[in-house]
Amino acid sequence: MKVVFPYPGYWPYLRRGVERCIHDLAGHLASRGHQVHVVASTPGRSRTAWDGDVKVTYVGQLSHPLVFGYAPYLRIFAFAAAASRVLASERADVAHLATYSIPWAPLLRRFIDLPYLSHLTVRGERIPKERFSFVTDDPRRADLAAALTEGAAREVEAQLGIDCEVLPPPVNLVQFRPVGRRDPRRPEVLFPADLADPLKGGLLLLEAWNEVHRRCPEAVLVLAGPYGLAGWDQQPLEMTAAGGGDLVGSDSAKAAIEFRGVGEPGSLPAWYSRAAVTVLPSVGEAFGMVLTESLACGTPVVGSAGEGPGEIIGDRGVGRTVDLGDRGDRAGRLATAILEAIELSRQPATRARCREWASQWGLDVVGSKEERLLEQVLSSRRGRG
Amino acid sequence: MIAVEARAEPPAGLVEPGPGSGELVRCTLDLLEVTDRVYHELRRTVPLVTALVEEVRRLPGPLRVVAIAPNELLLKVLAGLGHRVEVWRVDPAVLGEEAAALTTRRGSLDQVLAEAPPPADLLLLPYVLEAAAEEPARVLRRLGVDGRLVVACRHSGALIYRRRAIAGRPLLDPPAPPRISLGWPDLPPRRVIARGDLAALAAEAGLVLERQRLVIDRTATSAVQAMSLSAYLGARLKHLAKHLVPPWRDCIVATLTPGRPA
Repeated sequence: MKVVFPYPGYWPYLRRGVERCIHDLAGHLASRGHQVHVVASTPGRSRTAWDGDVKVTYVGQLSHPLVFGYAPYLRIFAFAAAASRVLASERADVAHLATYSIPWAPLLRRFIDLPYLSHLTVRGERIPKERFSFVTDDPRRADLAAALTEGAAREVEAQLGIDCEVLPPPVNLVQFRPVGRRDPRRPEVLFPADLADPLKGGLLLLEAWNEVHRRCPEAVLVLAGPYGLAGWDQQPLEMTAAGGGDLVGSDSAKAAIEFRGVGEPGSLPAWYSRAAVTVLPSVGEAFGMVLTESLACGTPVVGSAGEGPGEIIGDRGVGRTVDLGDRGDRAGRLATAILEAIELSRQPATRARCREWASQWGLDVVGSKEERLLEQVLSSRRGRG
Repeated sequence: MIAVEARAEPPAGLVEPGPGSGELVRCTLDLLEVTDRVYHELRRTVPLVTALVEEVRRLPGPLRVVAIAPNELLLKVLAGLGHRVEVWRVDPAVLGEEAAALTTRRGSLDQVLAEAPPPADLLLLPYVLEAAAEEPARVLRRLGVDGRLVVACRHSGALIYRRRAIAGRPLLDPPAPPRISLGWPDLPPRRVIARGDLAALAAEAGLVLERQRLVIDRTATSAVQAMSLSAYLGARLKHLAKHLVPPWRDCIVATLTPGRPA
């Protein structure tokens, strides 16, 4: 199969869940002998690169102060237009479209005969709705739709009345494995999510840090996420979790925060392995890939009791959940969950249990399903033809 | 790791001075493995990085370079030119893991400046002289033992200071702890250096001012910073003014060498 993944973001410029998911699925398909092409965008000049056996075409971005001042969504359309030109010139058999990839995907299917899988990387109200007949990425117009979790797929079926498959983001168990020792005298609390995205919960974590530090002064908070999406996050960094030291009261609690910054992708397994717990107190999270990566490295996790994280942390042997929908003393409850997870990390069986739990999202399992779904999309085209 | 196969379109023309170094800096930036927000912050620093690289490229290499409070882009360009780079990292800095491997000193600006440098052919000091607690001449004397110094510092004739003076506002902001910054490390200035003072400071430190020039240190706007039309036009106008009137430019870039003038 010749498979194309058009999506505005890709490594190294964006290092969030969707980009890693595309990276891992594309790499898996290429390793299975398929011809795989990622069409993404770059803040610099257009170029073509190779990510292993995967061809990556970076188209230029429409970035201008006035665009972000008055019509930021133009940038999505500009990417879709540039990507459509690439797709039209390099015909693929099938496309994997994550949400917000190409707003006029039904038109592409019609004019360049490109069937597609709509991979819903958002939940609930954020799922695109049909506004115009062809300018839409409404999943009902796709050849096949897939959500990231079982719960999300059932929501889509109930809301949209279509069949929805489950295709979670994979975790590469060869790359993400325990590769470092924890220091029990200095437990690390790792926050690897975006520091500037308010939905990721970085500020709530800083608030909770006061209590964690009071009850476990030897613990260290490691901030290791990226700094927001260029253009979309207009907050100055000092007002985000990257500079939110004001939420932390005492000097000693501040001193116990290590600002590590976003690391190279190759460093993450060691960072997860050394941590006592990985925390993702996010809301509106469709999945939460950092949680499965952490589990694969044998490190317990803390996340929301709802949405994607709630479905991932389905076993108290691998972490703790917090009801973030209940606004009463969220910071205190988050602190308690973190402290319990630190204790959990000290139990000898935890590492193996976390790793075993993560195996359900292993790249081999999910990659095979991706391949099967794309073949299903392709055969539906042949059926139509 | 993503391997570059080919460029899909020819590079666009550059407006920065010195197209050779400017193009080198832009190409390096385009291939830098950083997130998009860091990219755009570094993009703003391209004019000053280009000016510093031009100074370095005047010298025969490869050189042993000590970069004090550099940014990721400057380091990558220097490494690409084959120089052996040592980093004095001033926190809070956002530098990649490659830079971490080159770091030999780390701390506040005053901590990293406290001791004499190791033998080096060149020391780079962007925004250091005006931010150090110690007097600039003493800093220069300690650092300028055997190698050249390339200094970039804000000067009192810059447009921003002229506007503040006209408005009756203090030239410097009140002292504040350094903030996290994705471009250059945040080094709040403690003083403003007049253009004419640099030669005297160098002489006091036993150095010779080999050459100096005035440069614009950043792009007019950031492509991803939302602006109203009036703010955008204002920023472009200020930038144009700095192009047309060199004394209004932001920064002096000077090369100082050890020894006394003949």
